[in-house]
Amino acid sequence: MPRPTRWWFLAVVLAVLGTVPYWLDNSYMVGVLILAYLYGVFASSWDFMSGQTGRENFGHALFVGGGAYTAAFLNVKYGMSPWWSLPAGGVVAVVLGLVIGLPTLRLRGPYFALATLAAATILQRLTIILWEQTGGEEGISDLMPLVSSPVAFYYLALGFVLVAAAVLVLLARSPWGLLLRSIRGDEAAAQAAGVNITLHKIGALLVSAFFAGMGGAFYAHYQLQVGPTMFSITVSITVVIMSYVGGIGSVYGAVGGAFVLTLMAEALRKVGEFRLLFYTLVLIAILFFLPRGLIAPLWRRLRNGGSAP
Amino acid sequence: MTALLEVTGLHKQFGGLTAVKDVSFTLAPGTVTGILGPNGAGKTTLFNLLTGFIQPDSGDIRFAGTKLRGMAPHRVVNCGVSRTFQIARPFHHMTVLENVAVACLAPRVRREHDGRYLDRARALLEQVGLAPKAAWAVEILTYGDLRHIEIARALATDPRLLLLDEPFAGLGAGEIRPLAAIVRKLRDRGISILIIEHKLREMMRLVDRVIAMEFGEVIADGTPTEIGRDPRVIASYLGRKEPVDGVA
Repeated sequence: MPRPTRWWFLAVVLAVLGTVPYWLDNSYMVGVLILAYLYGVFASSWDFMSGQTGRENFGHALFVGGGAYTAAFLNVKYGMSPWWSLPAGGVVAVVLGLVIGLPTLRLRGPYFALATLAAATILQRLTIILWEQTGGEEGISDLMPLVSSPVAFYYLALGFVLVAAAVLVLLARSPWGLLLRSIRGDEAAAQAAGVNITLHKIGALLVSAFFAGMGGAFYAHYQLQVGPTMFSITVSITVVIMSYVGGIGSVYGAVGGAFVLTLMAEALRKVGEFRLLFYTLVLIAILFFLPRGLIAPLWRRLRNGGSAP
Repeated sequence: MTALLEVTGLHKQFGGLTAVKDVSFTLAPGTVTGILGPNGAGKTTLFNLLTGFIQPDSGDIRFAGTKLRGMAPHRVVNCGVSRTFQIARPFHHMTVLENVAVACLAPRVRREHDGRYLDRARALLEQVGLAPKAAWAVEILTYGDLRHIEIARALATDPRLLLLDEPFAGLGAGEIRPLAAIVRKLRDRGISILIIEHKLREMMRLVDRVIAMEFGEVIADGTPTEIGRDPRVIASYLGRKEPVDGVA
């Protein structure tokens, strides 16, 4: 039983997720799933840059928040259609990516990681300082929804994460993806093999930023409100953890990691104030016992028809 | 014949240490040249300068008429100068085939080979005898196999000049012989080779000429026989009074 196992597994998952609005009569849980899909876009786009090239981005919220605020400005202040927000959010995130990536990705050492961390924090502060434009702590509200019915929103989010993940997985498996992984393997050896490492790292960052920015804009038009927390370190770190839990470097694993962790966080609401404690314990357990993550090794196991990879 | 590589007055200082001091030499096309010298003589720094990994303080490097000084490493590769590393540097988390395929994606190589980079990577693995292990993860290879990957990867970029940094280090006699045979085959194909090696006997059999270095300076330059008899080389490197066994 070689490959078909995988496709059966994928078909079952898609069949279950694709019919959720028909058997799950709980609009709250449908909302949680939409959130899980959007985090799937954030995490898989993070993994495309950091998982493939090995250069950690600790400020992915920069792109998510950048996309979200772009959506809010265009839609609320300039009255543009919410559909413009997705490409515009992506483009603004790409510009932010250029500003961060151009000076720092040519250097060795922690500069890129530190710059991303700092940049997200700076933008979060700016949303407070420039409160007259950004609404300060309150943020900007009254965004228009992308679609009006919750069911349509559900399918839109599901389609969004599937398309984003498919594009990113295909790119990661293309010859370009091979070059990106060689950078993670050994930068000097990649250079000796003729790879322009700076160019490709910046390229990967821009692709990553574009999808995160679109995701941020989508998120804004789902929450119908944006605020400074979109730029917060919590968002950045959550995305990193989701990628690690899914299995770093696989892109699709990050989507699974986002799904599992979002649902887990939701399930843990029952234990009230112990929630964070449990959440952290489960995380430590996963990282300790499954250092390659939860989703990527499972997927590989399915390909091999049940035997170890 | 005009020189393939022309190095003039190359100089590199790290703080108070002069790693490479006013080094000049030329390499003729199709030759194998050894670089000899004790640890710290500046051999690897010289390689790093030639391949763009380090920029020199002064001096000039010309390869087939093109000025290499100031170029980034990947552009030097694109000009036709490739290198291996003293300690094998495989791409981790990748298969043997992928390790070599990366180098087949270099822009000039890809244009010249019609984009069939995986076929080319397979052919190169065949050349270095690693074809049966193409799908293996590099983590489970022996050190000797990793050395062969280094060479296959350097060859993938179609170099006219190949710089080998201690290709035999850490290998047993049984592993050195096939590797030396590969180096000879490359020379016969017209690839010029510059080789750093401490395994004297093996190197002296491979090279047409030896450049000896000490404290960043070239102290002797000649045929293996001449170098084996040179009193300064004997004093600095060999530490013996009599000529080197099997060399002179």
